[in-house]
Amino acid sequence: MPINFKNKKVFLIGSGPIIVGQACEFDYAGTQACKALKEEGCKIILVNSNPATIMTDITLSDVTYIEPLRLNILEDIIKKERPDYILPTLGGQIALNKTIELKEKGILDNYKVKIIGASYETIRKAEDRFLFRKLIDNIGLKTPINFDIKSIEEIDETKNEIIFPVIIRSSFSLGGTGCEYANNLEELKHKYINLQSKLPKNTIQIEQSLVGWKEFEMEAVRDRKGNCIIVCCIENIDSMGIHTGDSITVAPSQTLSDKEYQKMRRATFKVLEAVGIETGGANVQFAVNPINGEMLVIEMNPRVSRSSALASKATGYPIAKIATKLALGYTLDELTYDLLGNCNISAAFEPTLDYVVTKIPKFNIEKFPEVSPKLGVKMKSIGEAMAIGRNFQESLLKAIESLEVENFNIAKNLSNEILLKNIEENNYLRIFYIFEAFRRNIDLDIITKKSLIDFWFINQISEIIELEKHILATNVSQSKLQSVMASESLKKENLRTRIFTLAEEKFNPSHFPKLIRYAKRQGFSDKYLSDILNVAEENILKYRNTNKIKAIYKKVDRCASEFKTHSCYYYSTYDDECEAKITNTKKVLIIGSGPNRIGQGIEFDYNCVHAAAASKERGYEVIIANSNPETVSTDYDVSDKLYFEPLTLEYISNIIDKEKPEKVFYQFGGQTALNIALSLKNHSSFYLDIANIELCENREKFKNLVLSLDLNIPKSIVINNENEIIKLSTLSLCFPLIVRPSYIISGSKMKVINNQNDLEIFFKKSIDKDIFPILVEEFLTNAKEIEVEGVSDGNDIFIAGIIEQIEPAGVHSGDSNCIYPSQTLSDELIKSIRNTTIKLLRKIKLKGLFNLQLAIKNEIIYIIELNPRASRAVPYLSKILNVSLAKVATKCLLGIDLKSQKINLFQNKNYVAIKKPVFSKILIQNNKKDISPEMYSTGEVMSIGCDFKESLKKLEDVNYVNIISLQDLQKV
Amino acid sequence: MYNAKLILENGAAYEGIGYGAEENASGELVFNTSVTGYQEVITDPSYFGQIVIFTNPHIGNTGISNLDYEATTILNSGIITREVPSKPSSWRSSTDLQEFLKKNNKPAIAGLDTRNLTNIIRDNGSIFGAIVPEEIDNEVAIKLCLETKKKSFKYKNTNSLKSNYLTTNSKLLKIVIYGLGCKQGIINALKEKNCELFVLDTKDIIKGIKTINPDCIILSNGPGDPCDYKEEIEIIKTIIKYDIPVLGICLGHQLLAIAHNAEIEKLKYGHHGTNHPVLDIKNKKVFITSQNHNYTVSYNNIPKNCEITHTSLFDGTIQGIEFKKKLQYGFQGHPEGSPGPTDIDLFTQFLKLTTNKDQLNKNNIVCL
Repeated sequence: MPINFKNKKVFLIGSGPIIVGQACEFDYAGTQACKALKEEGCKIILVNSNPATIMTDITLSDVTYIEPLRLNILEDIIKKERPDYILPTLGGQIALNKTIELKEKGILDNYKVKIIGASYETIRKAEDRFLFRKLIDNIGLKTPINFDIKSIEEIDETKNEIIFPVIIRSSFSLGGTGCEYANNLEELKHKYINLQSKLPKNTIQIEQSLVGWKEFEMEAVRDRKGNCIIVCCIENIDSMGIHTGDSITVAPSQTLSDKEYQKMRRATFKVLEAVGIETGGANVQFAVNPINGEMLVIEMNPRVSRSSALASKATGYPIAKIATKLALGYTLDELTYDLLGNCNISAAFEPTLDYVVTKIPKFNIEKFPEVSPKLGVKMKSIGEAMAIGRNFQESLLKAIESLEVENFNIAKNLSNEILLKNIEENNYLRIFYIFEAFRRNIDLDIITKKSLIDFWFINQISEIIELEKHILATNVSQSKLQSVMASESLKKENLRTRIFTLAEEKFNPSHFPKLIRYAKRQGFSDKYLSDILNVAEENILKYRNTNKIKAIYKKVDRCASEFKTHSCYYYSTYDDECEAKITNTKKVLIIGSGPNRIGQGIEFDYNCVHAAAASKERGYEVIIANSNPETVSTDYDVSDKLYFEPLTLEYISNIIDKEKPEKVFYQFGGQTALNIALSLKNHSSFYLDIANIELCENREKFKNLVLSLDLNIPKSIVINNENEIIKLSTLSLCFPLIVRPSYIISGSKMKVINNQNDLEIFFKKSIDKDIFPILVEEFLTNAKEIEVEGVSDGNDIFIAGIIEQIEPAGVHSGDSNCIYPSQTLSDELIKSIRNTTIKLLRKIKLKGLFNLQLAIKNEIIYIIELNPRASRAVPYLSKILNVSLAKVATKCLLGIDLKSQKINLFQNKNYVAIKKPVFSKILIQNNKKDISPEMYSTGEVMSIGCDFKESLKKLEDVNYVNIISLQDLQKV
Repeated sequence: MYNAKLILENGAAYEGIGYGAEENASGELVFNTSVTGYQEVITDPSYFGQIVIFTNPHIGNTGISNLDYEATTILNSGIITREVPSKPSSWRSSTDLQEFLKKNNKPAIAGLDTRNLTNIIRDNGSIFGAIVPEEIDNEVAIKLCLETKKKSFKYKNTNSLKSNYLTTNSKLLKIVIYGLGCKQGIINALKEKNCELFVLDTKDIIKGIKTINPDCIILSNGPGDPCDYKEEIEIIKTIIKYDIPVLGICLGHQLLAIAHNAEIEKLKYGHHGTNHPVLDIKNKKVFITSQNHNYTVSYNNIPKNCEITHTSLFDGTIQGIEFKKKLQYGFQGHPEGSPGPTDIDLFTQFLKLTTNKDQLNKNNIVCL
């Protein structure tokens, strides 16, 4: 048993703003940690600069600081709060680094704070490459060969140790510059001389090249007695050389025999022991030579990581929670853990899977023309989606579906040469290029060679395209097919087609339904099928219904059904038995926000979690659908039921058909959820009242409504289709203009246009039928931008806050510094903003959260847009006001009006909070972007001060300290 | 590939895709939840005569390796997978699973809801089934099931006993394995310890022990219900009277317990995976073990001299026993893995105890 932690103070450091490489998985980890510490009666002192996190909710910790994660601030918190312990392993690399700094500066010793979870020495051993390498050598395992070369003679001396090809680089190379391959001794010498002449002062390093080696990650937990289990083994489809975060990965591993797997498993335990991971979660990364099975240890993380979050969701094993408990001194045999549906199981039980999980990265590289589309050792993806299928193909196709990509066929117009070049150069879209290469019958060996993807996976991918071709070649004319797809009953004789078998086509003539069923079983979405067959997606659905080809649900239960469990964690597939347990209680379905992307990230998951909590409070069964494994919303204790599915019309309507929820909440998951709601309208079995939503989302309708209310809106014109572009030539608008397409996220494709020429270029470049109608409006230069956040119950309107932006209108609100309360607005103007808001909302009669964007120029209020959904600012505002706006909205949606909710809005006027955007360095080098209506930031930080100046100072002045906790805000 | 079906003894029928040999096969349906190690499972004598359902959908990915046999042939009567094995990818592979099945004349069926079948077996207990080509009549298949059900499956290891009992190297530890279906994995694990091994069957075991005078005896794993092993139990009753350390593995563990008059009971849910946590009670250590059993030593009427050393952290069942003052041990799981973890190094521990017992003339043993 652990020592008694009751009333002991534990200090937790969060991971700060979302940036590439550090996403919301650490909110998931931190939140689990808080809950686990609370269960043990600990007093939690938490600091995280990111307000959009669940972990910084005031109820989760005893003292919550949303402050910049600077050493002086951390020291001040320690000084003030006097924690007994610090737990550094759950806040990502940031928490680990900060803990090291605190230790090395003597601060931890000074205030007698003990590190739990991992010792200082352990962190050093794992983080210091040299120390780590030495350790690994000592336990008889191998790391990639790597040494410094000081002279050309030294190359000759060490030539027997060199295994070609090698990477030669200078020791301080930035972003892969000055990094080259050498295939033999001669080349190496040549390149060495070259490099040395360019960078004479630098040490030159030779490293064994592992290009083409297979990459694996072992997720493990260990307790203080040395008991150790593997939670999950993750295999990278993309071989070594592409950052794991940017790789498509699968669990469980597919290409290891038991002997190899056990060798890796034992090696993992040895590494953990050698580094001294006493308690908690860790992962070890391995490279395996596909030619001879040689295994190298690449690195280890002595903490909960991005892949631990993935492993947790892939298996149902709550690594962060168990790691926290182990850090407190529990042993694995003393712990059990829960999965959705109250089914405790020993924490020592190694999960086993009877499905395949695929994780796929989500990129936003298209927003950054200056960023290379080639993937490499530095991570570039901003989010990830996970999908579960009963076989690899289904899992991969569902994962791709989860990316919410509109167009799969992006490679159609490329030449074979460019196609293969893109595959070879690890273009971030290369999975689509590989599909296209198979479509063009490019030889499998060539694709394998170019992609360096293991044969097993490549072969599987080729089978997907073979099936696609087979469906195409069913000898059915398009017109006939369309009539068949549309007709209610199918005469089997009409379509004599062979069932698809890959190795041999020995199957007797069978029928089209069988083929479609097989395609569904392999993960083909209705949309994919509708693309191949060139029929409407709803006809595919009709056809499936007629032929009883329906999705069923299987459980994620950790044990492959070896034991009976009551797990309520589901995924869809096409099989015989459906395991979803449907209750008769009243229930709500909350549509999550899917993979993180710029403009739609952790804030929306925050809202979903609160909506779930509020619905639970009201006695509803809560069902969550989401595809993002990093999230808190997909955690085991947030919902009553979890459907881990792509967030598209097909998958959501399948869930609705099965569960028949009383309500579907689409307001919390950002634009993804809203767009599904808009397309659900046509779904026969479910009525969704979305007329008001359409009113806000359709630029033209909205414009007319605003004008009808005598409110101001910038002068504009709506272009509904390509033919209407001509209207622009006769238009009386003055430049500069701003163009706003409909139904978009993060202002993508929004542009400021300065002259006629640019306008024409814009239309030429970005013509895409999905962006109409486009609003072209006059750009209000140097106007002030204001956001009004609130909740409406259909009649009454609750204005929670008026947020002022420091940057002028035209900068995307996500990229602006936001201040609350507003600083420069007169009382009169505020009153007038309130009136405008009320007038507009009374007319539209929205239910739930709203976000109204206004511009103010010369004291005139212009309406820019109204978002009928949760916005990015909801968590920020909720934190300052200590009112969960998402909860208030949820209750409105469940029929409790604002009046009966009796919201107690306590606004402490003594504080000013600033929300500042954070840009990812890999995407934007100088952390600054030109003024643009398109959003580029990936995360945000918040600071609280007694006034605006102080709040700003805290963000900008590294020496400034004046810590204020959320709890302080509640004191008058 | 051909159209095949799975027919259960109760008449339930499932259509699927047949691969491997186009043959009839019948046997008790059992499942295995391990993600890796299908080759070890299909050649494992413990699964002799059974039809194994693999819960992991993709089986055959790494082909068949010459190094991974538990016995030289496939001992399952057939296998059920969700997916048809695709072409393998592994440097260790010498042939693929489909070919290997054909060579061994064993059928397999894919395309079934293997999770559903797992649920059926788990909830209803033992069920027999038959894999047959499409054109075979269901009634014929059911008859096949019922006939197979009457048979008892015991496996005899090939005797490694040669005419010459005398060992060449007297410094090595001599181990006799009572082969009731001994896995190659056990033999390999012991070979690593530098021992001289003698695998003997029921006919020769007593005579062999007397001639060889081994340092210890291992009662191997094997298929089926331990209560069917009447003759073997009598032999073990004799063996335990010798002053020779004994270690029983899986079936061997159960038979050792019966020989000491312990009771055996059938588990509601058997253990069939490579992920089972077992607690070493004395040292409070957890080991993940490979398990494959439907029966367990019962907590009822445990003999006085029997001490429980290991329990399952999943359902609390007995996983390890020790007979006091006897140097006789039983372990329910498979310390050799194959497939599965080898976290618990039971063989080393056991051999250490064996050598310590008689240190005088065994001082220079190299095996430890």
